[in-house]
Amino acid sequence: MTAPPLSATLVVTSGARTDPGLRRAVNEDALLAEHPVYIVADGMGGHDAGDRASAAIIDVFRALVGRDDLAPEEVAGAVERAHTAVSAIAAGTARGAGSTLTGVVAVRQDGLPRWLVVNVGDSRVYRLLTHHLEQLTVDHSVAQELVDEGKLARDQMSSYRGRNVITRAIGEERSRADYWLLPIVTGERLLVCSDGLSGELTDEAIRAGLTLGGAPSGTAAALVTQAIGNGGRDNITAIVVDVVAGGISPRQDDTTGGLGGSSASATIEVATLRSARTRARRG
Amino acid sequence: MAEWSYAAGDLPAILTGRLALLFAGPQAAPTARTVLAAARPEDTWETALDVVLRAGLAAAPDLFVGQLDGAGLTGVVRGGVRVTVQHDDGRTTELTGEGLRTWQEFHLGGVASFAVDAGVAAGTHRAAAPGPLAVSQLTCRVAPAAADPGLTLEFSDTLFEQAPELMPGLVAALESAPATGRYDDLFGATIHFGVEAAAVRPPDDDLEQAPTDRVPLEEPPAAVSGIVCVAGHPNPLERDVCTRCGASLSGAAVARVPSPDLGTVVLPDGRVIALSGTLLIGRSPRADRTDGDGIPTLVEIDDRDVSRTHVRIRTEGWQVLLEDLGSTNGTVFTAVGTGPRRIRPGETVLVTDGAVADLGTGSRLTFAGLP
Repeated sequence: MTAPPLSATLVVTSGARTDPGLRRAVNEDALLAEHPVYIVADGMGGHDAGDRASAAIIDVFRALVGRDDLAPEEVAGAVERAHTAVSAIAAGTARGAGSTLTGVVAVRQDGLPRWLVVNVGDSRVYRLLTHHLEQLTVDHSVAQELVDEGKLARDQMSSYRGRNVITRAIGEERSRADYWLLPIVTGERLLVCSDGLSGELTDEAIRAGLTLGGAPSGTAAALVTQAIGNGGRDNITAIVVDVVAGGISPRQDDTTGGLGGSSASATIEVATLRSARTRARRG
Repeated sequence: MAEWSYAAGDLPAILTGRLALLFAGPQAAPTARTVLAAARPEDTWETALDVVLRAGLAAAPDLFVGQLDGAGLTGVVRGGVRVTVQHDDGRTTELTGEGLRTWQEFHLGGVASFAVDAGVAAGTHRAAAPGPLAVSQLTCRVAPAAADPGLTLEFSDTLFEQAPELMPGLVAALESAPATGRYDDLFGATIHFGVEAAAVRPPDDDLEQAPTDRVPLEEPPAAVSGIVCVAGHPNPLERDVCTRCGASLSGAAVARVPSPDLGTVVLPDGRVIALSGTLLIGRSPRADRTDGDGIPTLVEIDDRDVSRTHVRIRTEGWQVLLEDLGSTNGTVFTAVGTGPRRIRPGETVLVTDGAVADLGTGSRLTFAGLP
C-alpha cells in the first residue's frame, strides 16, 4: 500500500461557450473558466440588474484565479462576498436582483487536490467518467422539490410550467450555498452549465455530447449549439473541464460499496437528497 | 410569533424558538447538558431526539421534544410528561408517554396553544445543574398569524452562557438544592417573555455587520461549553470529576473554553491526522451536500477492500464519533477493554482513547490522545 502523493501537479484543460439563445435580447449569464475557478452565474432582475448581478459574482471569484493552494473555506468566503456584492446591486433596484452561482473550484486539503463543488440556484455541474454521467449538484428549485417529493418525474422538470422558479439565489438573504467535496480523478470530465443548457438537452444528450465531443472548447460549443437548435429559450452557458493528470487513479474511484454505489456504466446517477426544508415539512 | 411562558420548578428545559425540550426523571439533568453541548443550529426535533438517545433508550429521560413551525407542532412525548394542546377550533388534544416503552409521536396542525408538564410537583427531582430554564411547566401561545411563526432563535453555544442574562434568578434556582424549599415561592409564578427578546442570532444572520465579519477564515477556532475545575482545567459538561486532576466538578461553573485537543487518528500507512471537524475516510471519499461551515476533510486509503466513502469521523464538543456509511465490508470497532464489535451500516459509535476501527483486511484506524 502506498501513500498518496503529497503534491501532485494537477493538469486541467477547459473550454467554455455562452450564448444569449433565441428568445432573449441580452445574455444575463456570466462565466469564469480560469484555473482553479470554473463557475457559471445566471443573473436575474429588471433592466440590467441581472447581468450586473452575475458579473459581480464573477468579479469576486476572479480574485481566486491562479491560486494553487486554495482551502475550501476560502471559496466559502468568496461566496459570502458574492452575496454581499449582489445584495448591494439588489438594494439599488426596484425589482431586486439575484443570480445563481454554480461550479467547481480546485482546492487542496493536506496538499491533495479536490474539487469543491458549489451551488446556489438551478445551474448544474455534471461529471463524466468513462461512460458514467452523474449530476453532482441538486437544484434549488420548485421543480426539484417536486421531484424530491415524488410528484414530478426528473424528465418532466424541463417542461414543468414553474421550472424557472428557484428557491435560493445569490443576493437573497439566508440563501445558503450547498457544497460537495470530491477527489479530483484523472480522466474525468466536468460540465458546468446554466439551465438554458440543461433545460434544452436530455441527460442522454448531455452524456452523448460529453462523450463524443472531443476537446473541451469544441464540446462546450457543440452542446450550446445543440441547445439553441432545441429552442434556445434561455441564455445558454457551458464550461467543459478535463482532468488530464495529477488526480487520483480512476481505478481507485470506481464505484464499489459505500455512498453512491451504483456501478452501471451507462446510467445517469442523480443525487436526490431532500432539502432540509422538505425534511422539516415531512415532520 | 409564539409566546412562551413557564412556571418555575426544577426540570431542565431548553427553548430555542423552533424547538422546545423538557426533561424529567433522574436522567433529566445529564441529558439536558448533553443536548446543550451537542445541539446544532440546524437541528430538528428528529435530530435533537437523536442526541437524546445517544446513550440508548434505557438511559433516555421522560421528555418532551417539540418543533413549532409552519407545519404546526411536531415531536414526541415520553414517560410521565403530559402535553395539552388547544386547537384553533376549540378542540383539545392530550398527549402522554405514560405506559409506553418508547414514546408517542405527534404531528398537529391548527395549534393555538399548548402546555407541557411532567405530572409531578416541583421539588421532587434532583436539582438540575445549570441549564437555560428550570421549570415545572412550559406553555406556548401561538399567535393567529401562525403560518410563519417568525422564530429566529436557534441552538448556539452562546445560548447556554446567555441563560443567566435572559432569565435572571432562575439559573440561581437551578444551582441550589431544591430540597431547601427556598424557591417554593417561585413555583407556580408564570413569567412571560417573547422569544424574540431571548433570540440568539447567529452572527452571519446579522445584516448590520460589516462584510469582513462574515469571512469565516478570520474567526478564532470555535469555543465549546465546558466545566472548569478549581485548578482551571476544562472538562466536558457530563463529567463529575476533572479528567486532569480528579477534582470534583459538582457546583463548578460552566464556561466557554477553547476547542479542546481531541487527539489523532493514525491511518494504516502511518499518516497521523488530527481529530477536528469532520473526516470522511475511504478509498475515494466524497463529501455530499454540506453547508460552508461544515466542509469535511477527505482522507484517502488506497485499499481495494475499503469502500469509497467508508466511515465518517466527526467531533461534537468533547466527543469523537465514528459512523459506518454503509460500507460493503463493514467496520469492526474495538474499544480498549472490550471485544471487537461489528458496527451496523449507519451506526454511530463513541470513540474512546486507544480504540481501533478495522475497515477491511488490515486497514486499521487507531485513535490516540483522546481526552
